[in-house]
Amino acid sequence: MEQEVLLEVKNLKKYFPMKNFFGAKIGDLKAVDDVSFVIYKGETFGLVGESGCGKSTLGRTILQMLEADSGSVIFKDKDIANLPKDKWKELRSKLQIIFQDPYSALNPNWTVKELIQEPLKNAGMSRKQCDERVRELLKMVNMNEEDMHKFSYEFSGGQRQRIGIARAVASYPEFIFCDEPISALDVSVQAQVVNMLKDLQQELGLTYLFTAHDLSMVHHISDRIGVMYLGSMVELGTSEEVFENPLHPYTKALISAIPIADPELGRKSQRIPIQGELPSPMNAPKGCRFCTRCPYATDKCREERPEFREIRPGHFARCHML
Amino acid sequence: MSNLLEIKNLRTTFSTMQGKADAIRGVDLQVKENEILGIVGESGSGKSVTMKSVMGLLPRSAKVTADALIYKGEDLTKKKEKELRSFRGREMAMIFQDPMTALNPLRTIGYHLTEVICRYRKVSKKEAEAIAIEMLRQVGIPSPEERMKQYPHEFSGGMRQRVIISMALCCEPSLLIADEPTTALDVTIQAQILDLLKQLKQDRGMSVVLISHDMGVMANMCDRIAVMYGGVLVEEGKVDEIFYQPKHPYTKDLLRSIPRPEVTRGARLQAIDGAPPTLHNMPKGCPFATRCQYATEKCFEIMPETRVFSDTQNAKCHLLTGKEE
Repeated sequence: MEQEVLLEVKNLKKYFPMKNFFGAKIGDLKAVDDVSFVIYKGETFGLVGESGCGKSTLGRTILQMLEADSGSVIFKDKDIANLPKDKWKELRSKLQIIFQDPYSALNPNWTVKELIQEPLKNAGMSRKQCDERVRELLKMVNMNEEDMHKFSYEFSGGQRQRIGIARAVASYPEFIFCDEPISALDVSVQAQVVNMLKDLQQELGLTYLFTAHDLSMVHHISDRIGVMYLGSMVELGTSEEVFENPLHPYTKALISAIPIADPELGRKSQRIPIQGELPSPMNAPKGCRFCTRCPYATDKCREERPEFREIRPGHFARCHML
Repeated sequence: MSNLLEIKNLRTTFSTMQGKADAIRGVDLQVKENEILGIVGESGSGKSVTMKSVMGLLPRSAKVTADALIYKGEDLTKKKEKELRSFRGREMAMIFQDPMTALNPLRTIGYHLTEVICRYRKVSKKEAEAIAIEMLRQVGIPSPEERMKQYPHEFSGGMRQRVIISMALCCEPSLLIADEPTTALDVTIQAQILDLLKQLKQDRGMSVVLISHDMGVMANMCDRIAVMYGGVLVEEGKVDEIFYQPKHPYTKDLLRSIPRPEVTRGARLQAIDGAPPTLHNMPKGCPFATRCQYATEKCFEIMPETRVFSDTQNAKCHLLTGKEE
């Protein structure tokens, strides 16, 4: 079955200029370095990688919260990375974001109603329509209508995150970037939010780009997964393929480092050790980004950057060894 | 195995603007020699406060009472503050979650380490430095001589956590309390630090209390696990007992709500409705009653007794039919 492509990222680059003490440019921090992939309609695309690997920057560049240096983001046949401002405004409401920290993402001076109707007002809805839609949204995220006039600090973390979700889905979006939506929540509340995201996805036909610290959770909810390392995508495949038959040495080490919530299996599993720590993205290695920590690295790896190739059908990796 | 530390009926109350908040409501807990005991629970469940109460690290607004805190046969509740001070750090040491804020940015790593050593051991500055370098080597920091002269900002997160572990080990404590030592770190670094802790426990024969909310970390690290909820220790048992035969409804629900290998991918997780109780509206009875699907009126009113299921496993719930203690 041929799946419909909703969003295509092509050779996307986002560099942050680095300046010395006197303001002269001394180089680039390559946060997103030549990343290409597609997201199909209705799927959950998981992004994993260590902090500083560029997951959030990639997501925010796709949403045009950050301006891309080069490359394109094609959303429904339109290149939104190079769209004139007025055209982009029409599409803005179709791409939304859910933030990590529900404590700082909501304005404490606003009531729940004001928070949720902000995107609606921006889309030019009348007062009456807004009112109705807010009620509908609160119901959608399992909150009471009476909560409308309360302030965000009166709610627990899980409820606040639900307000954040209501805000994100308010303007009938098609694509939502979930930037670590469960990382700040208590363990027993995380499942509530994950289930809600899944339900909404089915009801509203949403497409997600999902990141989280908890890799077993990303594995659980994603259809396909992309693994990032120092700004570049090193592996991409279905959730099962990436977790069960990882190709890239970094993915192998990363996945074997996940603590399994099962003592018996934990005792049996062999961890692939990974030496050292993530190099600073300011002086990323020249060839393969992973060569400084890779146990199999050769001279070729240190000199030449490997291509992103399809190793098995639908399973891509960036490594000379494969 | 004999007990290194025995906590009997620990109660901790904070006096706050909104009145008294009972953070710990009668915890009994033993730490055995040369074991890793995990304390698992959500934020606000009292897992850190329990161990901080034992260490005496809480602010003055906290009132700590206990029937007994027996450490190596001595009752800590009968000791004077001055005696306790030499106890802490030397016998028990604690490491914290955030390696970024636990070090003074204006002092070198060497200063941090030698300060601790000089304080507890009668050694010259030269000797202290030699000990410090040896400690850094033991926790796997390359070229420790040079690293001694560097400042915390020159270290990465994982390396800082190693420095903090080495500081805690300087006085060769018998009990190391690790309060979410890897929460701020990435998975690959987390695995390195957890391996280090396991190794150190084996080499030195010390006991480790590992506080965390991550059931995955617990499964792979601990010998025994204590589950806390709302200031009460709801269940305690060997790691296999907790994961394969959980008794308390909270433990069961918690294990069902996280993705585990046997759960098919994409299947609905069984979420626990509601949110954990806050300290100011704690139910009189079982703290989990508000979210428990089996709760009866009795659960809300009366705190359940401990029921014993085996030599190692016990739980606090009215609905369980194990032997009464």
